[in-house]
Amino acid sequence: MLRKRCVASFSMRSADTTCRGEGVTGLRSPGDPDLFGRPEQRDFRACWVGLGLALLLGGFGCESNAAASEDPGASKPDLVHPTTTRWPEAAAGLQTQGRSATGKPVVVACSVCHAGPDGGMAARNPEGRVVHASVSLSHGELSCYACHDRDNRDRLRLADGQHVEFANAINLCAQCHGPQKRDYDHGAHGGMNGYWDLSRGPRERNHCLVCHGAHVPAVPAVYPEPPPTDLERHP
Amino acid sequence: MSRPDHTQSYPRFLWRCVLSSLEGNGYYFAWMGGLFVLMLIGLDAFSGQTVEGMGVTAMSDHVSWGIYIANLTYFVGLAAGGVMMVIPAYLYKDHEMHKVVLAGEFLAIAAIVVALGFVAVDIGRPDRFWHIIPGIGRFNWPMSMLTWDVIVLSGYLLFNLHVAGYLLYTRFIGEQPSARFYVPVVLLSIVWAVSIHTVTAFLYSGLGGRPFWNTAILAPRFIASAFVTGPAFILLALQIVRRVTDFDMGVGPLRTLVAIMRVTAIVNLFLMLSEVFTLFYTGGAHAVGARYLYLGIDGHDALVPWIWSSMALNFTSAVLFVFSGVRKHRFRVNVACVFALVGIWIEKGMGLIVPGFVPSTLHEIVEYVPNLVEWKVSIGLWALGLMIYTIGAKLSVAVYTGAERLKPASNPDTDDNASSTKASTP
Amino acid sequence: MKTKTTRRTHLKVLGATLGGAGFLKAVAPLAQWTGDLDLDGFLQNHYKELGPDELASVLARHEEACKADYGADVEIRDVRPTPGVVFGYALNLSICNGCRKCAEACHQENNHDRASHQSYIRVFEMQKGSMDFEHGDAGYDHAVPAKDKFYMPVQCQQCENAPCVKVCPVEATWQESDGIVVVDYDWCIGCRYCEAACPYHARRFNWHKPEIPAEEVNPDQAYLSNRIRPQGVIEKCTFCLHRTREGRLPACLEACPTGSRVFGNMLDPDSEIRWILENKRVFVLKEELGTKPRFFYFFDE
Repeated sequence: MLRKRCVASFSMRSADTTCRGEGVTGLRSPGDPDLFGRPEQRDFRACWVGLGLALLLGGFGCESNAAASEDPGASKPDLVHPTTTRWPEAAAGLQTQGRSATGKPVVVACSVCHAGPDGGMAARNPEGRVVHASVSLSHGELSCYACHDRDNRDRLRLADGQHVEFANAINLCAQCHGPQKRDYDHGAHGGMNGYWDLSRGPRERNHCLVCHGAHVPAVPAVYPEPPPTDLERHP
Repeated sequence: MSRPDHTQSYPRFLWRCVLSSLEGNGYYFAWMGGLFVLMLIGLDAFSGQTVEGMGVTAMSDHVSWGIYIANLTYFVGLAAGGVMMVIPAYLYKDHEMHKVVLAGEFLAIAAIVVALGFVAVDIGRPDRFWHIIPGIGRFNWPMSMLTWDVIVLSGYLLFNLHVAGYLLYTRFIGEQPSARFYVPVVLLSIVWAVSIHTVTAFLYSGLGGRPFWNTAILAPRFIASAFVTGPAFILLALQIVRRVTDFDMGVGPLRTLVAIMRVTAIVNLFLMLSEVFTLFYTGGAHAVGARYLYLGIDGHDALVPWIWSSMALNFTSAVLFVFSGVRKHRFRVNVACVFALVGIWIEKGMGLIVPGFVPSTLHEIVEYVPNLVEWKVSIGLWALGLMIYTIGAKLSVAVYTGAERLKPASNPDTDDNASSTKASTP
Repeated sequence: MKTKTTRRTHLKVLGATLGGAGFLKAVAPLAQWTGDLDLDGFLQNHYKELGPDELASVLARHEEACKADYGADVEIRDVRPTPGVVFGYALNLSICNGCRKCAEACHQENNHDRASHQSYIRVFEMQKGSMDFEHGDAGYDHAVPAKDKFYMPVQCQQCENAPCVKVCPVEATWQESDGIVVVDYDWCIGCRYCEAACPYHARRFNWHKPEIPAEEVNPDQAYLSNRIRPQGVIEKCTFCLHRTREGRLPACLEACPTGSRVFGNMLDPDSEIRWILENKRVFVLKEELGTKPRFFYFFDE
């Protein structure tokens, strides 16, 4: 039953589950099942297996900004193929202009600068304003600390104060955008690649942040592919 | 005179048919030569179309049937109308019509051959023709109306070939045709004639996705217009025959034909007006094809002049038929015939097929007007039909006037002189 | 008198010679064209009547022909339906942004003719407040999504009661057990009756021989779906059966960046498509025609 839950992206059955752990506002303690009904102690074992599988599968269609993060509990390789989620790793820090040896942008963890008390700046940084100048915020009525943890800038926070790692930011989106998250779980929102039949092959899903910027989530207008050529057919 | 041996006389009859088509005066050769040139032009265009693909025509994924299928529809109607000679002769015992029955038979034969020709030039893979032969290929009968069309068109051709051939052959060998060998087939062909045009109408009227065609009145409209074009063609052909040969059928058959057309032309108009009223009064998406045809949409109005010309021609010809007598107003009758033939060609051809596709099922407007390749192929096939009809008419007249007769076997005169005089009474 | 007969005969002979020469010239392209066709292809039976050996030789022949005509090495498989699977496809009209990436993916996956930029999918920009295609436009060429518009991709609906299957005179198109309506491109005679019958503008005809550069040919092909079609036959969307019958997602879905497309096995009660059908307010196009499409549209709210 539980195994079935872990099939595909975050389970089709979670439509009938409310956010676990006493709802959104309650506190979560170790041992409580997480948002998807999975007891926490399973996460770590499955984590390693999933990681190994993810490495084996070699990252389908990973873009340069994306890294696959495994889906805990989804891997019983003889019965069902895993669903991995690609998400923009660069969201977990401050993307700089630098490039690593592999060409990926250098991402600086927030706590590098925000190492002072209450997560403030450890030292005076005269370029501080410049560093964050590119961040504009247009996300409803939210302010920065609605999502960012004041005490530890390397993680995010839910509305009830619970901590969320950047990699699991999808849970943060879900607490407000429930219908979209429900649709996402049922394959009706967000791109995917791979197999419809997970007994025959794996699948890779987009994380919310692949399309929706966290600070300006509205998807920008794009220019479409060219229109059909057969509309103007003059004899 | 002893009974002729059919194993000898029939091949001789066939050979005479071939030879007599190659004999004639200067006008005859000019006519047939001109038709042959047109046929070659059409054949050349068809070859190019087959090799390079049907994209050389003006058809597209939006308007995927065009002038070929328009002509198919029209010529099936013309073939059905050929039976208009036959109904008065056999059902109403109009004895004067017996003389000219063959005019209708050969119209049916020529028109069916042309209709089948238009099917052949319209399919994308003529090399795969055998796929549609029942028993050898796969035949989706009874679901596909095209399979019904294959059956009824082939059958109609065979029936008419039989009747025409039998009548000519018996007279050729100097005997009276025996009723039991052809009258049942004639009566069958009367019913069959209605079926060929009904089945062709059902090809279109069964398609729910094309509201312009999806109307119960389509089959009656087809029959009504067939019974205008058939008699109109025969009326003109008989007068030409009387001009160029010494065969005089009298004015009786002509009067009968005009009497028929007085009724059928008006019925045709009535059915067309019924359709127009229902479409335009209701309006909505169902009428959008008709709006395109009669009024144009958003500046797309390629068919508007066609359909209004057709309506003018049809109205005028109906009025002319009603108010003209064959004796006193011969010219008006002939004009009415020409108007009817052209007006109905537009109305049942371009004015029926193309608006079914414009706008498309997803309401896109891509217009269609036939291009040069399609005109060449069409004219080539028309020429083929006229050639067949000319040969048939020539043969019929020759046999009926006694010019073509089987020579007795004991007399080794040359058979090749078609102008040999024998007893002239059939 | 003798002179007249002789002159007449001479004229007849001259006429016959000219006529014969004209005839030969007119049919010359045809003669060459029939020479290019091969006898095996001419005599080939319907797909449903091909035994395994015959089918294997047909596939091999087509692979060789593709190499000869297009210079591409391809693999053409015969992919059969899986029992217990009926495909369904759903499309979320609240999310589709009209980027046409699905149409482009279809064009590339299915080895369409490059010159005409053919695709089985047409995306319509519709007016908010109307479902009428008369206010729709498939030729939009501006940034999307535009204000007060929504986008509706239309492709073959794989109807349960397909009019195209009914009208084909030679049974060149039929519905398979998993719901996909397929075409045997080697049996189709190109009469285009199915194209006239389809209410969704889903069928395409090969007006010319398709032209694709060798490097753009998708070599993963199947006999009934995306192998390069010959001239003069009909083709249509097959829900990428060369992918979906092996469990993979169709190309249009994989290309969709917004995730508005949902695909799966309708017989599986746990599938995403079933969830959509049970939990979203789905509708189909032209329902009144009774075609029973397997392509469902829905809005989120």
